[in-house]
Amino acid sequence: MRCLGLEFAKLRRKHVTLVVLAIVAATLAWLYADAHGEGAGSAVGWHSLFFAAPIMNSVFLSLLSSVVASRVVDVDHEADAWKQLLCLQGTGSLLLAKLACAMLVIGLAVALELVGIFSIGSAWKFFDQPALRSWGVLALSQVAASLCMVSIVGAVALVWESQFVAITCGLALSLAGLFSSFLPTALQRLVPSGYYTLLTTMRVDWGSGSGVPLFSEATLPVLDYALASAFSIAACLFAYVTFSRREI
Amino acid sequence: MDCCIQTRGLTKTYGKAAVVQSLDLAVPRGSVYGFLGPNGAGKTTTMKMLLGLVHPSAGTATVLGRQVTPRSHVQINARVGSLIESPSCYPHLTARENLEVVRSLRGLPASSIDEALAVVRLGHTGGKPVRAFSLGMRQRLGLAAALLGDPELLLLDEPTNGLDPAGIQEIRELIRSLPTERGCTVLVSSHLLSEVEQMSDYVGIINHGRMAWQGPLGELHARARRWLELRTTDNERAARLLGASCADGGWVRVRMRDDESVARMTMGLAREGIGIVRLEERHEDLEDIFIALTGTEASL
Repeated sequence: MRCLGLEFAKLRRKHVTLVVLAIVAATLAWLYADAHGEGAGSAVGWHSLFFAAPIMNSVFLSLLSSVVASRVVDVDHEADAWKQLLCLQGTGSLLLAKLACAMLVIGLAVALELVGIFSIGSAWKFFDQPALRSWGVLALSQVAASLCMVSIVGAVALVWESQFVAITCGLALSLAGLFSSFLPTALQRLVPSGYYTLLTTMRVDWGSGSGVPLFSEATLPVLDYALASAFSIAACLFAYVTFSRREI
Repeated sequence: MDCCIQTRGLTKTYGKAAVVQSLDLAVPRGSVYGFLGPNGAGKTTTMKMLLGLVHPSAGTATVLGRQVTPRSHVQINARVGSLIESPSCYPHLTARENLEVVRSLRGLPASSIDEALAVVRLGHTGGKPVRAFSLGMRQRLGLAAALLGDPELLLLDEPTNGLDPAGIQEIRELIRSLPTERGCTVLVSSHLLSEVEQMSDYVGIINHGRMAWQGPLGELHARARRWLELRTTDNERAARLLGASCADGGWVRVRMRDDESVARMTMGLAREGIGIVRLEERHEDLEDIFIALTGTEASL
């Protein structure tokens, strides 16, 4: 906890909260436009929001994950602080604290987004509000996908001192996330930011011929959760092994 | 000898290049040990190995009675303060906030920050972020972080870098006083011979990664060769009579001898009608010894 507190202390005046608010606002603005298209009292309004939010997140939240992961690591590159920190704390606890710090920031962003979605849906009086479990599943899927992104970009940020590499990697993954939705599932699974949509349970069928999308709720995609976890663990292990071998 | 730091055959190689070779370092408890060597001699790498930041290729390092290993170094470093190369400073944070990071990791009381800031005279910086600090102020902040919580051992790598002359003198006096006032042992590296001479009781001279000499500063002085030089009314004849050589600048150089021999020599020259104009005792200074040991001129 002390190490986690220190990570937040180091981020003071780094405007991380501002970045979170800006990106959540951008996502919610998009979702509001989507809700506007559905119209007040829509029967599928909530479904539409739950389906659109992960797609938006594959761009915006993946970008936020990259920025946060990069910033959490760069703060120590910038201060040339590794030699001081690694004298006084183990590599494992230091990297774990950084991961936890980044994920708490992402958790805040997801929470704000869910509050925003709830507010939009309620304001448009959408029919049949989703159960608490659905909200939980949506939150879990977005946090799990973000963990994958944070681990990968964080590992890159640790290895390459220039944050240009980490941010470029994050941007590339963010763009890949947008286009991965158009790929077959097997290929989408190779794109880390594709897990924002893969891990959700809301599905849509556009092929009914009526022009009206048919939403349905699928079971929890356990295989995709396992793959996302594997990506995260592999990235964390890579970061740990590479960093602990490095001589400061 | 009770040592705070003891290394045995400490070696670090990068590929085929040996940066530190079979180094046997012994830093006595309660001393200021000057670690002297030309740039690139291996001083910083050695200090990093003592802190566990660089893993030795061979040999062992024992710090405060415990062998430095990847598992033990964090526990050992809880009792060690260090300033290696440039100070670690978060530029967007204030001096106090920077020290708060170290204080928290060391588990020290909040009052230790005020004390450390006062020692390095940075108590007045208030809410000024470190990015607005001069190089000297950053160096002082790095020293404050190293001094936080009165560590038993301080490793300082060229601590006066970037300081103005008054600051350099102040920090040297501070380092000099640490063993007596705080019971702290100090290993301070420098490529400045004069600096080490002013601060240290013990000296280790490292060159090309090898320890060229180590021991009390007094012993190093005692190694200095001594001789007499005299200027006479007829140097050539005086040199011939004394079996001596003529040094540059019109001096006759003779080997060091006791007072009685010197008296006999001067009277003998007077009997030969040679007047002695000057008679001076000369000795090698530390720089000469340093050059002899390392083959490199020290910075002054």
